[in-house]
Amino acid sequence: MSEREYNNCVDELSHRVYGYLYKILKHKETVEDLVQDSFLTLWQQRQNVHIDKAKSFLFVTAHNLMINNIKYSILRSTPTQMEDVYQDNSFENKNLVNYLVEQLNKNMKECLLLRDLEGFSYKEIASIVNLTEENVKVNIFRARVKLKQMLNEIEKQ
Amino acid sequence: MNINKENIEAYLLDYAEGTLSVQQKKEVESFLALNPEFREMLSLYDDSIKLEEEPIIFTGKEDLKHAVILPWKKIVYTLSSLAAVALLLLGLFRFDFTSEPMKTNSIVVNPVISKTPVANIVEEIDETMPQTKTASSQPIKQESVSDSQRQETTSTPSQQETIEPIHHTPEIESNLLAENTSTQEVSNTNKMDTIIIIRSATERPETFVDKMERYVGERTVNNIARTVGFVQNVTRGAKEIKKSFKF
Repeated sequence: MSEREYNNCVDELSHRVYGYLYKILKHKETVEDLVQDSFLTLWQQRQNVHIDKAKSFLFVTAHNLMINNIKYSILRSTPTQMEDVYQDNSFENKNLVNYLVEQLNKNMKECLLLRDLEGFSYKEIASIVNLTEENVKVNIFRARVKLKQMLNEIEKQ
Repeated sequence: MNINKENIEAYLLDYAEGTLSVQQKKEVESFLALNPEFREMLSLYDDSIKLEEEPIIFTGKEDLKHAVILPWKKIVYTLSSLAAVALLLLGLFRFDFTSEPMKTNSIVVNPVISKTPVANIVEEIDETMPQTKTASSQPIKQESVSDSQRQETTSTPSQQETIEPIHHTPEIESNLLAENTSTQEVSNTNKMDTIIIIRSATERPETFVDKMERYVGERTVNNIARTVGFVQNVTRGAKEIKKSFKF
């Protein structure tokens, strides 16, 4: 990947990586740091990463950094940051489905976000979230069933 | 294909998306017939439920970019670097540290040089020859110039050397100066003569040695040659000097 292609990646993908991480972490400063670290890794590895694989590489890197960050936060027992992570669950200013997605567990949410918003294949999602392709499909299937159930309950009310 | 309660949901997803083969479809349907709770789950599956993209504003985009170096600039930079290295190497090879360092007509006379044994000797030769003089004011480590003279000796300031009487005529001196002078600025002072002779020694050591040998003898010539800076030449070319001047 050339410098120019790297800069194109920044233009096209930085806000997508940011959006993906923000939907899960909900902590602006942390997410910005993780995006920066992800692109720094891409820059350092640009000779080994083909442009076609850049998006996948970025999301894998970002996801791993996010997992490490969550583990580190838990180890350090920083309740403020963990509260920040899940504080933004208010229904205001949100699409109903997006709000309901926040109620899903982490694996379901990650797989669904990567599938519906980023358009990754099941195989790519499996490599990003470090699950088997079969597990990814199970998570997405369960996520959609759960969303349907929640929507039905809301309609009944 | 081994469908069980652990992986049935993965097959149900493919079933709903229509990506299963006919055989796989039959197997899924037969599994659902045996496990109706999953049929109910399938009825709840709705892939029309889609997440909506929310406007994301990421302000740090420009900070992530790196300066792009165009290919032609890379070539220019590479060539410039190579040229710089080539010039440096050329300079190093042109400036030979080991032998005959003075190649230019411009000479900077360090006051210390005028106090070297060469200067002393030349001045003394000019002024007082033939006389007995101290050949050197500093200790000089002397190496032998032939196989029979391999022992190292050291002459100290207290050690006196007897210079043989020399037939010093104005004609010979003027001839020496004329032959070995590389500039036209020759004065008649002893100091300038000294400079000229030192320059001659550095520029044309063989001729200088030849001339000086006639004045002061071989041991003093060795000392002079050593002192003016081509010690390595003297050591390496001792045999050559001996052969040329029949020491």
